[in-house]
Amino acid sequence: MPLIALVGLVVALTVADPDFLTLRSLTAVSRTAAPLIVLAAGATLIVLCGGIDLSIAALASLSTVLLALWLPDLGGLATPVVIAVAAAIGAVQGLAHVLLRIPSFIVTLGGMSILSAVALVVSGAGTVRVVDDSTVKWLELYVAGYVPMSAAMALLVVALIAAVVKATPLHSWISATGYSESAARLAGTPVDLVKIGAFCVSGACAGFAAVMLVSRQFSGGPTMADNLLLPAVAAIVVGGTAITGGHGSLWRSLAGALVVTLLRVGLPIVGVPSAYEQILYGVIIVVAVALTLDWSKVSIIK
Amino acid sequence: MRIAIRPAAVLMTLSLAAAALAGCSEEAAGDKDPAGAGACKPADVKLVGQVRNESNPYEASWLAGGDAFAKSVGLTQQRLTYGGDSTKQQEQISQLLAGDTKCLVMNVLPNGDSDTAPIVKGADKAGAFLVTQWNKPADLKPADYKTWISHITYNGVESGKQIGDALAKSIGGSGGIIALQGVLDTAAAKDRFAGLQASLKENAGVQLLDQQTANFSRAEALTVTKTLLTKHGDKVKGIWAANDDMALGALEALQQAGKSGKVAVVGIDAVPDAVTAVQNGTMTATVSSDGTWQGGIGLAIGFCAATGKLQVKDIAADNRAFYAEQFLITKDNAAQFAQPKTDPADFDCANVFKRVAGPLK
Repeated sequence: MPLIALVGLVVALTVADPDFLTLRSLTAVSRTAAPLIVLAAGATLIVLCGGIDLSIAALASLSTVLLALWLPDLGGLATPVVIAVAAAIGAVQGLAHVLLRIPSFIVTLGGMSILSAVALVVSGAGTVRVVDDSTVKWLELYVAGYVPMSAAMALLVVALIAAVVKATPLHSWISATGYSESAARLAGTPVDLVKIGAFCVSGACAGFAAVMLVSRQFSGGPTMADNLLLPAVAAIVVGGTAITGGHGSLWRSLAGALVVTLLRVGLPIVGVPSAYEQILYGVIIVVAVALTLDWSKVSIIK
Repeated sequence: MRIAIRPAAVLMTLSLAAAALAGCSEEAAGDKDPAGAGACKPADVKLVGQVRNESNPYEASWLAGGDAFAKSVGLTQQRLTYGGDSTKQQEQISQLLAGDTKCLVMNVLPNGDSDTAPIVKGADKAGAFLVTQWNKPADLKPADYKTWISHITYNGVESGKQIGDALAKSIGGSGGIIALQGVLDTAAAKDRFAGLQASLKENAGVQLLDQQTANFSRAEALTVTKTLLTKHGDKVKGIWAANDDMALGALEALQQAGKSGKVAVVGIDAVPDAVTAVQNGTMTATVSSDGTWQGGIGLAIGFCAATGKLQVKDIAADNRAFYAEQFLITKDNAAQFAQPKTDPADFDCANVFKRVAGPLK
C-alpha cells in the first residue's frame, strides 16, 4: 500500500511539472532521502515495540558535530566511533526507559533537549566546518554511475536490519512486545532486552544518518538534523506502521521516507507556492496514512 | 527460518558488487557538460530566487525584486523558501540541480556561512550560474569557480559608522549615548560595533555611557534599554542599536519612560516599521541594503552571464566578491524607501556592478 501512495505522488508531481520525471531528478530524490530513510528505519524498531523515539534528530545533530570535530584527528576511524557513541547514547536511553519505568516518550523528550544542549555546548553554538572530507566523501559517490552511494547504503541498512529481524526470533519478540507487552512478558519474551536493543539500533542509525549529512554538507551543526524529527515520524506512519506498535515493517518506512522526501523537495520544485506547500503537505500526509493503514491489523487508535 | 549459504550465489553477489563499485563515479551518469558561457537564448534561461521565508518583510522584498527583474526580461522567477532550515535548503538546491541546469540562474541567500560550500560545489558541478549574498566563509572565493559569478555582501563597519555619525549629528555633536549590540559572536554585530567605535573617534564630544547586548531582539532591547535609562537617566541623549528590531524595542522603552522624542535612536536594516518611524520623526536614521535590488541583481548578473552579454572570465576580480552600496535613511529620504521599488536601469548588463562599494577583503 505505501507503494501506491509513492507511485501516485510521483505521477502527480510529473503531471505538475513534466521535467520532474527524469533519471537525474529521481537520483537526487533518493540521495536526499538517504539520511531520512536511515533515521526512520532505526526509529521504526522502537515504534514496532510500542514506543517512540523523539531524540533521533537531536542525536543525529550531535553526531554531525562530533564527527566534524573528530574527523581531523581520527580520520577514517571517526565514522565508526561516532556511530558507536550514538548507539551507546541510544542504549542509555533504552536502559533509562526500561529500568526506571519511564515512558519512552518522556525519556526521549528529555534526551532530545539534553542532546541538543550538549551539541550546542560542544560545538560552541556554531557550525563546525569539515575542511578535509576525504574520509566521508565515499558516501557522495555514485554506484555504477547511477545510484547514489548514500541511497545504496540506506537500502543496505534497511535490508540488513530487516533480514536480521526476520531471520531470528526477534521478529516475533518485537511484534509481541508491540501488540501487548504484558502478554509478551508472560510468554517469556525478553521484553526489556528487545527494547534496549531497539533503542541501541535507533541510536546507531541516527549516527549513520549524521555521517551522511556531514558528507553532503561539508560541516556539522548543532541543529543540522533537528528538522528531520517530524519527517522521520511521518515516514514511519505514512509507511503504514501502526504508531501503537506491533504491526508494520522497515520496508514500509523506506517507502514512507521516500513519500515524505518527495513532498519536502518535490512540491517547491514543481512550483507550489510556499504557503500552499504546507497545506498540501498536511493534506497529503493524512490521505497517505488513510491509504496505507491496514485497518484489519490496527484495532486501537491513540 | 534457516539461512543456507550458497557459495555460488555469494560469489556472484560479491562479483556484482565489485563490478558496481569499480564503476563508482563522482557524478551521476548523464550529467551535462558545464554550461558554455553565453550559450543560452534569453527565453531558455530559468531564474530561481531562494530565501528563508516570505513572511519576513526584507526577504519578501527580495523576492519581489526578483519578480520585477524576471518580468523585465519576459521570464518568471521560481521562488524557493526553506524556512531557515539548512538541510531543507540543501535538499531544494540538489533537487533543482538535478533538473535542467544548462541555463539555470540562481540568486541564493545561504542560511549560514557553512551552507555556502555545498551550494557552490553543487552549482559548479552542474554548470549553473550562481550569485550568493550575505554569508560565505572567508576562504571560499568565487574567483576559483567558473559559474559562481559573484558574492554580494554589505560592509557592517560602514553602516555602523554611518548611523553613529547620524546619531552624533542629531544630538548636536556632544552628549552621552548607549549602544545595544547584536548577537556577540556574529560578524554583523562585531563589524557594526567597530563602526560605532570609529564614529566615536571622529566625534570626540560623544561619550559612550554604556554598551550591552540585546541579541538583535526587540523584547530584549526593551528591557536592556529600560535598565540603562534608569541607570544613566537624563545623561542619555542617544541610543545606537545594531539593528532595527532593537531600535524599535528602545523606542518602546523610551515611550514607557515618557522620553519619547527626546532621545535620538538609530538602527540598521530598514525594516518597514523603522522606515515609518524615521519618516514620522521618532527615529533618527537607519541603513538600507535595498532588498528589492538584491533580489533582482543576483538574477540580472546570472542572466547576463547565461546569455553571453557578460563573460565570467572578463569580470574584474573586485566584482566577484564585493560590498554593495548601502543607503542611510533619514527623514529627508525616508519617503523614497517607504515603497520599495526597482529601477530597471540597475539591471542592465552594463550596470550590474554599478553598486560595488569595494572588494570583499
